[in-house]
Amino acid sequence: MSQKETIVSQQDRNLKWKAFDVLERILMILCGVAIAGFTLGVFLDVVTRSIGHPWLWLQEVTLGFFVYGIFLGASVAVRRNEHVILANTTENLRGASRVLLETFNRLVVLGVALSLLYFGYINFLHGFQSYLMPSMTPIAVLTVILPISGVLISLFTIEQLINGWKKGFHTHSMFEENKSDEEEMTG
Amino acid sequence: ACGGGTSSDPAQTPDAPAPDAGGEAANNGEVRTFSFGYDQPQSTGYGIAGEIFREKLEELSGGKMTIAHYPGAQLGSEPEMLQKVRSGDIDFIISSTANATTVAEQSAVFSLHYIFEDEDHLARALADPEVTQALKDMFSESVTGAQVLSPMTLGLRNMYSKDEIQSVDDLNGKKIRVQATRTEDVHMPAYGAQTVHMAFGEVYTSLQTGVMDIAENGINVYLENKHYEVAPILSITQHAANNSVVWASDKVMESLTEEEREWVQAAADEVGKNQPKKALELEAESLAELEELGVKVVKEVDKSGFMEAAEPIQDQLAAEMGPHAEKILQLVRALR
Amino acid sequence: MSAGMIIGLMSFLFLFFGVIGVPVAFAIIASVLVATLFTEISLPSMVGQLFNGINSVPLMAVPFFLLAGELMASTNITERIIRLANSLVGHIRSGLAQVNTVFSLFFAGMSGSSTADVAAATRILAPQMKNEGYHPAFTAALIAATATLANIVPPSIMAIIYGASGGVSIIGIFLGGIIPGILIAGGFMVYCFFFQAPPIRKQRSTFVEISQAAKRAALPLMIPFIIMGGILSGWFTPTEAGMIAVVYTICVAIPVLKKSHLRHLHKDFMNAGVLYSVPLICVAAASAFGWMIAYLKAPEVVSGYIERFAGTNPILIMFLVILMFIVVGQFVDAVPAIIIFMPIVISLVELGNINPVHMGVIVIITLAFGLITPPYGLALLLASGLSKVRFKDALLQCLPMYGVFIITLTIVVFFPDTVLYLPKVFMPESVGCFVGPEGGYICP
Ligand code: NA
Ligand code: NA
Repeated sequence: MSQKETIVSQQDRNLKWKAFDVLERILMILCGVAIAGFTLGVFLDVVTRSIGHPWLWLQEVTLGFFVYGIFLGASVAVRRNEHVILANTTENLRGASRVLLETFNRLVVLGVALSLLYFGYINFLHGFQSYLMPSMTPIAVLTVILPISGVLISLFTIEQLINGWKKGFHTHSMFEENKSDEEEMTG
Repeated sequence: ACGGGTSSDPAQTPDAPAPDAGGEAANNGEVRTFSFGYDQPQSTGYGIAGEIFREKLEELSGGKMTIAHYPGAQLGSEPEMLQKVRSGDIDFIISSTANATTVAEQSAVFSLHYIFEDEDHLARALADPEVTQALKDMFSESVTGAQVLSPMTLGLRNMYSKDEIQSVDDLNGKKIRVQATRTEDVHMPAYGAQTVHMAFGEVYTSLQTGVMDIAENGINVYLENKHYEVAPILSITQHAANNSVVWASDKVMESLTEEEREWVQAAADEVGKNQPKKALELEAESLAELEELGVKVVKEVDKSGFMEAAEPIQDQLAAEMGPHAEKILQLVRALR
Repeated sequence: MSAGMIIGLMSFLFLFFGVIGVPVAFAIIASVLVATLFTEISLPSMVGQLFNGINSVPLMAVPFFLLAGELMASTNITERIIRLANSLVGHIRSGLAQVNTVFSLFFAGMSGSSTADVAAATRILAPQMKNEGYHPAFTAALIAATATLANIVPPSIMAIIYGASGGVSIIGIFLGGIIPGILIAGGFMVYCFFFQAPPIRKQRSTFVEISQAAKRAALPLMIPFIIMGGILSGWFTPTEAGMIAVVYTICVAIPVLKKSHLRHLHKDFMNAGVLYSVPLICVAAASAFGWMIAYLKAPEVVSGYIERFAGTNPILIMFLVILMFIVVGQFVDAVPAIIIFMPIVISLVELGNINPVHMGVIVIITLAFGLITPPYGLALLLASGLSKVRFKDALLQCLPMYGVFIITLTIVVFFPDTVLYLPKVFMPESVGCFVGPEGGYICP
């Protein structure tokens, strides 16, 4: 496996716009910040508790990093095509049926993303009347990540749809080296 | 091991009704089933409340209205259910007044320490119409989408640990798990203890390994969740109440006729009237069961040191919370 | 529409979307949102449920145990562990196959990630095994099958999810998984000994060689002791133990053993940030799915059926649960499967009066087994992909190894102490024993 020059995934370039690379880079950095943030948060939680001066609000911050990281990571994973799939049905298809199925699948993802965006936004507004304990911060500061990830996933899905229609959806097969290297899951 | 003492059979039949899924509301002789969610097993004081509510509602409606229990946090934690009852996705829920602070900050007044002298005082306060009204006013001012129908209780909270707690001195330097609320974070350090915020689900393991030394809850909760296995000494500190409220979503109330709304309120009033007595009985039965299991119970805790430390904090925190909280505090104190 | 029909529709849609290639998380969310339209539940509320599903402190252990495994795999620290395994068992018949198994057992004690195990073993062991004449398909199958140990031997991500969503003692399940993990490893070693020996035999390592290899692997090998010791002695919770494993790897293991890697650490963090979000977005989706299942009262219906069929016989109930999760594990990843079916499992545990830790370990072994069964055997997919053998060939080589799982599961069902013995010794409270009035433990 060659060391990648850039943190931006070079998979499936035919489905991507150069302009969105910046967005992917920013999201990758934020993901790194998130995981570093909650690692540090849990670390300080243990330390401050052990020395008898607990920071009681720390857990809220830590959970914030955690939750933000999941939704940002799940968004960028759409562009990087790193989500787990049950079956790689489309890989075995050619021609019109391939285009049709690839389109349908992405429309399902787009539907979910737009739901995250619209209903997530309503849920975010409800969140101003519910508070986190003990700091009594509105929970909306956390749930705002749902509509944000809705926007991001919509953008990445539209990017793939338009490029796919223009240049074809054919990408590397699932089991070619780089990709499956990253096809990670709980395991 | 069930708590015992509930007269009704808590087991649901396999074909227990799910709430009206299709939205085809029952106008013509069909039975309307409401969802009724809470976060403890059905054998606890929460299940008792649900059963009282169900029986009265079925009786008044002639069997046309009933509820489906959703015990054990099946529909989410209390803060989550509070959001869902406000959006109308769950019809009725029970939440503790402590967790209700996630939607109405002044609800924390019921979590102040030592405002109830004993179980008797607690029962009188909950039966008092003025207290109930003040509580409802407080919630209706801060919360949209849902309304409080009735107060109820799981009794008083006590501390449990691997060590005895005879007086406030025994808390010195100890790590105590509390609900993540400001009241606990102010009261507990005043006793010399350090608070640890931890999800309820983690309490068992953390007591076991010693991540924290003490936890505190109702007796039946202590029994049902088998916390006695890891903290086998129960000290009757009775430092705070485990009060709760029954919520109805505005959405379901607005869907009812005037008469049906009265049935619902009457069924909830029945909860307020009968549940505290039954819940306190359940606490006593649970205590007996624990003693039979070999749990050591410290009954004669010297509460004076606790009370001295708590009294000034009560006024300070109630003032911080707001006018409703101050009013409720005065009403409760007047009933001593 | 009746509750049953809505559940049917939701499950059908999930499978349909999944089979035509929609990513699992999105397939689950889409099916839930469509089902929501047929209930009185509002869509903003169901979308909000995605957030509720992951707003949980115990779940933070998942990225920690993933990250610890990935860090060690990407820094080649794993190579030191493989060398140690080689010095211990490399001389036995089918030497490298035995090394593979023993490595996985060690690695399982440090990581909760089967994929990290597959990645490391494929990189280092697969080429050597090919040189010695093992069939690449067999190698891939063995790597995948032994990598399942990462989830059975503590720390285990499945155990964390199970404990967090079922309110079961995580440390109890951790301890309970050790003996079954050793049984499974032993099973693989026996299978390899009798059926897969290439002609090459190596010399037994000398004591000096073994102790040198052990010394080189000592730093990473401390991790299992730090994790389990720290939890058992009350220094930290299982979630915090994961953080400690990460901090230890970054601050001690890497600076000492592979200092040059520190420059690339930020990339590891960014990649790990995406890596953990993938399973956890499935958790979020599954929790919405599970919420709908509970709302529609499916757990009571299912446990009603099982009660009619199995009565309250614990053995029968456990076998039905194994069957249920084998079927479910064909289509759904372990983590969402646990969350979706937890309400049903809880009612069955009560029905059969089964020890929750015992049931938890059984469910976890079954789901770990699912990592190597088609069509959704993630570890086998990954292993065959990385070693460039056809999935079908790897699967054929894997079939005999299913026997190890089936035998172990049977033993574990009939002899609860294979699970409960270690918790009873080290942490009696975690399996329902408690301190009696006269001192000493009373166990049910
Ligand atoms: Na292996
Ligand atoms: Na492991």
